[in-house]
Amino acid sequence: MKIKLTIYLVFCLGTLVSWSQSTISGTVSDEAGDPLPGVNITVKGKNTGASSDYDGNYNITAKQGEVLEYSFLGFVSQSVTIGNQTTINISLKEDLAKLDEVVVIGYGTAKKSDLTGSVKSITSDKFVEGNQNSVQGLIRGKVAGARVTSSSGAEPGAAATIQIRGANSISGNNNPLYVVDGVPVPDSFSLGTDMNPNDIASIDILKDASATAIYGSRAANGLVMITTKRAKEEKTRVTFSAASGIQVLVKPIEYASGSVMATIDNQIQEELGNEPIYSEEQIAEIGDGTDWIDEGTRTGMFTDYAVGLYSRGESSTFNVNMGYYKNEGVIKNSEFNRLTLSTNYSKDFNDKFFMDGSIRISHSMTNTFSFSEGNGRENVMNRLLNTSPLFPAYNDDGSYGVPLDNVATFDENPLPAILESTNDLRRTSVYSTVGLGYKFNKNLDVKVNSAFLLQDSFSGTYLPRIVPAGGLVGGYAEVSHKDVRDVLLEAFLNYNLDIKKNNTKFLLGASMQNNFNDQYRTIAKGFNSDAYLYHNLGAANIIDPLNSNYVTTKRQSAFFRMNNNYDSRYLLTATVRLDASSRFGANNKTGVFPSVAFGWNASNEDFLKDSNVISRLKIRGSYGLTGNDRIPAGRSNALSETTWSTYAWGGESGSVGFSPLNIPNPDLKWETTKQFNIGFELGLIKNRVNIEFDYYDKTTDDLLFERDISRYLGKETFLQNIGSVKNTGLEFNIDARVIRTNKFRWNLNYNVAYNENEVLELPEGAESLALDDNIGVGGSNYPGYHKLQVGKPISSFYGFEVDRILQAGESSAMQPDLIPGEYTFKDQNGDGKINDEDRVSLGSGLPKVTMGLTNTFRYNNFSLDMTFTGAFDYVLFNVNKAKNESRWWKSAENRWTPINTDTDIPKQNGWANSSVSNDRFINKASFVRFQNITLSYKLPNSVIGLNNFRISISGENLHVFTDYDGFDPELSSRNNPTKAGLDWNIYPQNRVFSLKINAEF
Amino acid sequence: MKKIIILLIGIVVVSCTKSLEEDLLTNPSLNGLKSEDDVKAALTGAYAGLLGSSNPGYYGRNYLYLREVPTDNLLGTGARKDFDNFTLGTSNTIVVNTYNDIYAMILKANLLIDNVDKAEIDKDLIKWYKAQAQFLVALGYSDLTSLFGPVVLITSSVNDIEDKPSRSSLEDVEQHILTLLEEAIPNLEKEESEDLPGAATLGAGYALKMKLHLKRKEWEKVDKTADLIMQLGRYSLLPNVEDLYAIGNSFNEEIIFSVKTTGDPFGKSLNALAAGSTDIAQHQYDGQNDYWGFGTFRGELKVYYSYDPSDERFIKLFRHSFIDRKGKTVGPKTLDNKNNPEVNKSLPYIYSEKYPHPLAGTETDLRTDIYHGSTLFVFRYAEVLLAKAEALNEINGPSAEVYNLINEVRNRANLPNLETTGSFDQASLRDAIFQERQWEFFMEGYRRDDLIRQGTFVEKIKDSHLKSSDVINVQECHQLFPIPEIERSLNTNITQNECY
Repeated sequence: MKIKLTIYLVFCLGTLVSWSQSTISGTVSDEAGDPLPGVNITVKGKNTGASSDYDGNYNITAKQGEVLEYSFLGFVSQSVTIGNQTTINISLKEDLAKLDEVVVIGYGTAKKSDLTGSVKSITSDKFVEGNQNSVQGLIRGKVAGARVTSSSGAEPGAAATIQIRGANSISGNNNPLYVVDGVPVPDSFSLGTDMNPNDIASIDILKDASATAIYGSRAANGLVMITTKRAKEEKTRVTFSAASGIQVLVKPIEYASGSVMATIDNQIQEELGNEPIYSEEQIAEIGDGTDWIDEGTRTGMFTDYAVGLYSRGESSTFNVNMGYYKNEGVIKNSEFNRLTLSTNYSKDFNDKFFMDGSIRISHSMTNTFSFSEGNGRENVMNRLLNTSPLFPAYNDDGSYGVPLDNVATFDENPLPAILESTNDLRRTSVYSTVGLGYKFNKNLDVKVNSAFLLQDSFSGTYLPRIVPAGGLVGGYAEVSHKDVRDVLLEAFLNYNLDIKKNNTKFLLGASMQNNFNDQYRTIAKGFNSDAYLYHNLGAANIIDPLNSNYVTTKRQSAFFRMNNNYDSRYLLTATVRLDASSRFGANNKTGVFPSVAFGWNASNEDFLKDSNVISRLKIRGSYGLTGNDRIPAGRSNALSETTWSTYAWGGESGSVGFSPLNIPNPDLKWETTKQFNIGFELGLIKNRVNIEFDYYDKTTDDLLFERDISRYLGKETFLQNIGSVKNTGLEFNIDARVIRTNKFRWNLNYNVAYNENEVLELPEGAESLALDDNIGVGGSNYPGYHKLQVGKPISSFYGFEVDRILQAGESSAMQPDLIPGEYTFKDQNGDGKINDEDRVSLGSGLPKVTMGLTNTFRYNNFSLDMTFTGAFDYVLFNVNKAKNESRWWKSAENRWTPINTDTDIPKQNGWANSSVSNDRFINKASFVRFQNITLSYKLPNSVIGLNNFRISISGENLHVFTDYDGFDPELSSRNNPTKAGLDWNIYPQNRVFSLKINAEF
Repeated sequence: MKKIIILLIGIVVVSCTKSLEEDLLTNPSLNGLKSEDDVKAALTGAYAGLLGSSNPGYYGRNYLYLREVPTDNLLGTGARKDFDNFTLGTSNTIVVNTYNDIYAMILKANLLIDNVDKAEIDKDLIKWYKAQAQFLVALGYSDLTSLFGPVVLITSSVNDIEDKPSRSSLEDVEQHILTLLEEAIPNLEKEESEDLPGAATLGAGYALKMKLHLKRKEWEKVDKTADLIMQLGRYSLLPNVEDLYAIGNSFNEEIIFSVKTTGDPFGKSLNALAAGSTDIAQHQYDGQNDYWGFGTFRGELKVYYSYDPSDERFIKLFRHSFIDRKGKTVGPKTLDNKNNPEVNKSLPYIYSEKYPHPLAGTETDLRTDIYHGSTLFVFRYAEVLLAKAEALNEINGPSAEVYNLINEVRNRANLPNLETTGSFDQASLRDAIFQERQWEFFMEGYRRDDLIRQGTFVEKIKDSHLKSSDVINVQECHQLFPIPEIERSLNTNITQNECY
């Protein structure tokens, strides 16, 4: 009905106006006369538009006297007033200032040429293609000094993290501050997976103090400014995209053959003069045995649909985007579904009064497992890597296989936990903003912004009886709920002052942001039936006490910025922000974060103005202070805790008491990063080649550190601002349009960053500080494997150097509890003992060099994109291998046994001695990854009446060039940079092959 | 319009002056104890310190690992092997956690001592609460000196973190224990508190004092303090020894002080560490032969075979044999380390029945119910009798009074009077008393202190294993555990004990 009506109306209107309209046609070409396809042609002030076809030809209906506007990315826009002609041929000039893109800075935007800071903007056409798990992945390999890593590999619904210019903080969190359309999003929100990458127009990475200091106490780790798509052209556009692909497991290891392992066991027993463990029939029945990785994985799949409607009127803009994304991961039953709806609007009520706002809603459903470190039965990868291949996955009748009767083992079949358990995580997030502005005149305006963010997460777990952990307790259910609310109110004033050639922009504002965090969790077990899942906790025999907790953070800030620009030649920026936060101790309530920066656009000086070679040359320098305010809530006060403080007076049920949670520290404050940056930007040959180079030197003091204190004080740690870390680095970025002919173009981006991290100072002048980090490798004899050492980078591993394998009949005086088949270690200090002092530094888990290389080739309507990423000079502790290589992996067939002594693989289950951190398992992990290749074809507009119809195929993670023999050299099971580089139980990496269609109406 | 904008900016700016205090609703601040509920919660928290801050905990399994494994009573399995063969490192988690747990409890008790005076409650109540906290600090230091020798003496809840004290002298720490007890004892009650049953009574205060005198071999004082306990008139031996260990019988006329636990602990969940309880029971049954227990408490067979077969403590408090999951009979090896012909499978150790699990033997998987309200003994009346006997024998040698005291314990176990089994001089009677103590207090945490006091630490432990080929590398200096390595790295003024 509606469609009919529309057609009718269009028809009527068409006939009504046809008398005064005529069709204008022509061709658009570049200065060399080559036709330009895809140029946007609009009638000014109207919703009519067209674009040029492959040969540069176009048709558009317009009246005499109207103005046609021609716009094309990278070219100067042109307007032509229609006279009485019907043919308008036009040639567009290449925009020399094309790279003078507009970048997003805090509380506004700026032309890149006016900037004094180090900022890199990545627009959506440069995002990494293919299946992107999270927002962060979009800029993988695109920005020098912004390292994108995943702690959870390819797990559906898991966000990657971005680390900008190394690691400043040793207390854990080195994430940048994410600012979406002006709203700083607190860490407690799952922004990375809530947002639909299809909705994002650009991501700007702000790196140095000049750029970041405007966000003061939250900016020390850099800023990631996300801008969402908005209606740009004065017409209505509908965009559509659909993508789908498969994910293929990169198989991390091979299991040993079951019968070979059984035979080895029998031979050992024979050697020892014992009866064989397995009978001949049993060995025959075992055959190859079970490969648990094959059993637990599948080919993954993803689909991604997005629709957008963009509309722009004379005084208003509006767009609404919808998206649906579904990803079934390579681990069976792991799944992520997301539905997003987002809208942006803006309206100018008159010359003075305007408003804008947005609402973004995201709902996701995840079926998730634990991929954390540790040996817990709940860790899916731990079970898939560490279960005997000697028993079948399934019995003949289809039931789950169980370990063999005659073998003493704690193994259990890992499949029920994957296939039969329910692990729902549902999350609904709302990000909404409203802003009101008023322009007093062209030089003065004021804006008041408010934002309300809400995230509601619910998780429900049920382990039925068939899952061993559930069977033990008669069904296990866990329900937890978390809601996070965040309210932002800010107001700021912009003032523009022009005095002759001197332009000065002032920004003055204030902001308050409060965050509220509520959660509860309960556990129930012993159900009369598995049928309820977690939906009827009342049916359980045992319901644990409900845990709940509430955390708030309140921030209040004022900020000021001045940008001075003299004749586009000399630039000066000064910013200062005052931040007060509830998390700061009573003696340090307010922090001051100033920065100052200078820039010189040498290319605007007379002596370079007319140079044919150098089209742009800028030198800039900045210095400033920023902070990291991620202090655990409440820690400046003397807090109590209750969990372990129950006592059963009368010997019956426990009463809950108080005990001290912490030793209070009223001096607690933010970590302060002092950063010096010097950079230059060079544009050559009409900016066909753009080079950017930065050197930075940043020192972070007052590191928040949960310092170990003497235990006789009654607590083990004390949160304090102590110590300092330094990061120095170089960043180099080149963007080049290498070849530019009519038919063939080659664009190249190469970026490389070098970062040197060094611990400068530790508490009380200590030379090294062991991180008490005993999570199961090596037992209690040698806890920990990371150590902070002055002069070394953080996340430095330390461990033994393996000497040899102890042979049968030998014993080691230095390691008295060593059993033959285990490693002896080198006595580094020659004191005749093997102890903690013999552990040496074995490298850091943080890479020194990271790089990205993107090549784009375009031939006619085809284009080919290739992205490579790489990281160098770091190590990973292959815990998977340390724990498992001599157990059930293929390598275990060659493990040390009394009958196989000439090997470097230790005995089975010798992990208490052999698996402790040592140089056999801490390996170099440098790599180059063939991240992405995308081939796309853009249909000429005329073919099917659609604009911008593009079809592309992508392959991701096609190959990794590395010597590292673990899962993947880029994964680390912790984001915590003091303990980076552990390769343990991570969701395995996969290759993705996908097909995508984009279209526009 | 301008006004509106100025107002809006004003709101934001004005709000900045508002205070930025945190809402500490989940973890209320501990700055002040006001009501009796506050004080009670603080005392509850301090008592909870007796169970440590994580499983296995101070008076949980760790207590027995430290006090029974490095003796001739228990074998060490798994990570506890180091205790059994004396290859202990300086970062052993059981040692480190116990050290930390005790000091954590001392901090909680010191917080109460320092702040309770400000509470708005009855003066006598304040004294009683303070006495409770003083008792806990005294108990903590008593255990610390027993395990580690001289330690750093902390007497306040507020300390300078940057201070680097050395270990105090043993004399100073013990003097502090005595001072605390002298202050506490007048304010303790003879009978159990109605409000907080299980809190230290007057008897508990005396018993702790007696324990210190016994350790210091101050025989007259041991005798006198024992008299004070006996004069209270509320303690006697239970007629049937096995009743002492029954679940839910942690209040009776024999128990002077025990750590109370519940079978329904807080935070009881899958694989969780439950506060307010202990999983000792579960560890007296093993997983492979038995009922899916964890089997870490394995009695040495030499002790087992040293009992008189008619001893009730032998008959009732050991699991002489059981049927395993495959229907086979399992029992201990013989004294000459041979397989026992009476059972299908022979084990080189024996399980005790002192911390029974109610579901054992019912073919239930014990892992479904790990935590139990087991009685964790600290002081019981039998020790008062035997300590007094020991003191009198040291003062005057054998006498009728000494025999009577010992016989009270023996007769309850259905053993004849000691003097009918032979003739004793002072030295042989001393040995008999220690032997009686071993039989009576097997797996209750007394053995280590006893061996040290008797001066037989090395000799008895060297000879404890059934397997004659086992070499136990025990030396006199192993009477003290190592100061945790981390403590020494954090404060270099702290010296290490010999042997480590």
